[in-house]
Amino acid sequence: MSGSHSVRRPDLGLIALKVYVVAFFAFLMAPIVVVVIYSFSDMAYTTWPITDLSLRWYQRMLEYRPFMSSLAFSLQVAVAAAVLSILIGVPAALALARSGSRYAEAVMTFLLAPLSMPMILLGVALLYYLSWMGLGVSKLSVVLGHTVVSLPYIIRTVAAVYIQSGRSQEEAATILGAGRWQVFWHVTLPMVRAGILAGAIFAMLISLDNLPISFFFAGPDTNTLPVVMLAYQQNQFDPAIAAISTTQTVIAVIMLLIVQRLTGLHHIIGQKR
Amino acid sequence: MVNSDTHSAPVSLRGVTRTFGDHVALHPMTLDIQAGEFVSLLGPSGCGKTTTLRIVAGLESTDAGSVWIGNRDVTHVSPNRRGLGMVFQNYALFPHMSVAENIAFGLEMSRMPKAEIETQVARIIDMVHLSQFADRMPAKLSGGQQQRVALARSLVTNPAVLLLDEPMAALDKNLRETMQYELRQIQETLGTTTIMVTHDQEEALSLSDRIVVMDKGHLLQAGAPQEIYDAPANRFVSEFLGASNLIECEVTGLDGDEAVLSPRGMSGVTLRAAMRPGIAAGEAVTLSVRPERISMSQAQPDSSHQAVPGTIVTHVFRGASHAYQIRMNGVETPILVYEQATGHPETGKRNIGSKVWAHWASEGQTVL
Amino acid sequence: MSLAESHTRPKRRVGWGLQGLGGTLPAVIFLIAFFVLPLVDNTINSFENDGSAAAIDNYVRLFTDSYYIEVIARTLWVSLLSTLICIVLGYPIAYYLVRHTEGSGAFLIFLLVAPLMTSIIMRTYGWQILLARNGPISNWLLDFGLIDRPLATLRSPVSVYFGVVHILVPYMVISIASVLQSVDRRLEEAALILGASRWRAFWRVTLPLSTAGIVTGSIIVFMLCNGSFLTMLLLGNGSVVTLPLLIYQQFILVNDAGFAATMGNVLLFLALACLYLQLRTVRGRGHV
Repeated sequence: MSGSHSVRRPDLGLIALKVYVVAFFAFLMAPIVVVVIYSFSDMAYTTWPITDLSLRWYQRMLEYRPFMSSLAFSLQVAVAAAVLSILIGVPAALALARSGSRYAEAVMTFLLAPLSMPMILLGVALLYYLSWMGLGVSKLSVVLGHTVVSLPYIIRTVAAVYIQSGRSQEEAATILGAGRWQVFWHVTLPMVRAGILAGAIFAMLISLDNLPISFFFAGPDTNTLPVVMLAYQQNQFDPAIAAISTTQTVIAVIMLLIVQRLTGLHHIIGQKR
Repeated sequence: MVNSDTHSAPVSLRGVTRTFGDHVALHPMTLDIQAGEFVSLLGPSGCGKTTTLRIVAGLESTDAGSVWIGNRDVTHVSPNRRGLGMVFQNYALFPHMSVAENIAFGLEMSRMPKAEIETQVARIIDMVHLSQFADRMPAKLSGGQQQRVALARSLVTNPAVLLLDEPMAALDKNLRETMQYELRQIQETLGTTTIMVTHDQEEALSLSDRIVVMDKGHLLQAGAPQEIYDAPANRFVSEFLGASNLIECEVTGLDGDEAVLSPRGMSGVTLRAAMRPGIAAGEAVTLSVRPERISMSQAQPDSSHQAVPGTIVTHVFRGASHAYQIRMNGVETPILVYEQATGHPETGKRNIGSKVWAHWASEGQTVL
Repeated sequence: MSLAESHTRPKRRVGWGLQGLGGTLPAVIFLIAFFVLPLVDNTINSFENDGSAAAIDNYVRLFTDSYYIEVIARTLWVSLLSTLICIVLGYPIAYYLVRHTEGSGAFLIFLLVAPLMTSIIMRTYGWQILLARNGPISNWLLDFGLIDRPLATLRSPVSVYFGVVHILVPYMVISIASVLQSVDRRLEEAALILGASRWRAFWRVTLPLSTAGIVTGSIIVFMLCNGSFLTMLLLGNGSVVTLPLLIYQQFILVNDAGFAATMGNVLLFLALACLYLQLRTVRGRGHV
């Protein structure tokens, strides 16, 4: 309305909301930012204010063998669990997304159930169960435990992507002369590739951060990074923890950026919880 | 022309039936389509037209009956061995392949040598005017371009039968008309037998050699567009295809080879209709008259015309014509009349409220 | 996601109705072997003890000793309070994300999701630094004269709530935002045109339509909070003992397997109850 141009009153409600949003995100970022800052400090303790900056805690991190060996083990476990989850989870997700069975929903609920279980319970239960099976505290036990948690992430993202994509592309390929495996290889798999990758990266992030299951299987060869970090944090209060945390976060953020490139962040909102 | 040895095959459905649970999607249906014919399956959603198409494609199984393509019973042949082309409603382009890769897919499946694939793809891409888009991904194309890719992909394998599932539904009106002409031209050039599913009557009328009207899983009428338009077999067809005035009448007597009719609610008005076997005095019949077949006049026309008196109640300008509604005393539904907009000062100048006679030649009516 | 939507044409049901589920077999077998059976085994263990007492002795002990009852009650209370705080803190953020972000939306969502990608140990460590007696918050408050003694937050339950809410509030925001997104903005506008004030339009139209998001978010937050122990361990300093923390302590200090299994089973019961509620609310809304 160019004719009746009126001076707008400032929208106090919206301003208050915006101030709150800023405060909220400050709250969300504060503990992370403060750790990153401390990782570059030069002090032996986490005291305030920081006076000098240095890379000594990164050096300490690199020199402290348990950090590096457990990080390597954690990455191995994360990859192994993701691969195992892909192998058994992708067929399940594809089948569920297209199944006309009246039991499809029930099976899906079952396959996603580990997400709803307290991890510490799973850890205790798995320890006694796997010990009884003779696996006990072993690398295989850690991988199996982590796969239980990784599997639902793969199944959920792949099924969601596959349901969204509809079946007409596969039908088109069939009409064009492609057989069952050709359809799967040339059309189905490329369509869900982003879902597999996104699910795998989520699963790996969750695995890297998992303490409650890893904790029960901790041994000389089977210490994961979070287990070592917890032990370190309970005994020492120096910022080496900050350095290794920051390093781990950088790894995670790189993974997240890959997911974003592949699927768009809005996907995550529906998937992650 | 894509290939000189173009082959096209007749298609034949013999008593094909399909039920989904308790719902009968397709009652036993028999339909013969000649080689090179363009047939439209027309009807409202849920009429069974898509099921029919998918049964021909092999994407849906039949409960009974058989499907023949060429001289082969393909009822139990899987869709990838039927030698068909199909354009899907949403085009179903492979999102991870470029235009050229999409089009080449069918040829690769048939293990054609690489060099030949390239020539074939180049030729068909040229035919649908997409040469400069060969390396684009489908997501970067407009709706019309995607449709052309889908069409090219389905035709490049030189299929015996082309199946079109609502191919224009996703396009806007202007583009749809352009694509209709283009599709018809390509189909005539190649001579491929074509079966199209549509709910758009204009599309069916303008593209097909033959229209098959379906409702609730039944085949209601099959015939050339003009034939179906001018002589609908029943009430559903006459109402579904274009606008129609349905005049309920009672047969009051017979006069030579004509029946004398009295329209319900209109006392003193008499209409006539050509005798048809089974018409007897006292029976109720419905006359169907297309609005463009009706004229209006101030004076009562001579008795060679069918005529009913009434009052103009509404007038709408429709671009190519004027639409009038004429209400008769005692009848609830007004008669709809289209008068050609000729530019003549007389047309479109009729006053609401004026008394007129609506009249038509008896050739312009159908007895249902 | 809706499994029902995926097959527009219902297939005829033959035999057991399991057609097309063959592909799920490896995953189902895996989870039966390494998820269901361990939990069953745990339940069996919970009825075992040194042999001198009745099978349900562990449960009798858990539910009669006032200390353990207190622990169970505290577990539920901490979860409940954290859930409420998450609703209050999270709703305005979800609303802002859905209704008021043009362009900045993707960035804010990134900020919201980013903490989920940092380790819980890192975030807990961050709060330990921030809330320390001689940490930045305490120092600033002292400098501005708002307090006259250094904060003792780290020894109180307050720091646990900081940690828990920080970890869980993104889930709440995401749950509410995804429902708000599907609430047609025009409904709000219609209410405004009908003469409602903006506040009333929100209160009468937007909020009721987004309750589904609050409910799902609450169940998720409650469930996750019930199972978390790292925050209680590192930020509570013994001031907030909940079931998972007790299981952890039992395991390293006492190593009483039967009793740990019993407490685990109580947690399992709570988790199953939440899962049941979750399925019911989702199904009630018609899209599973």
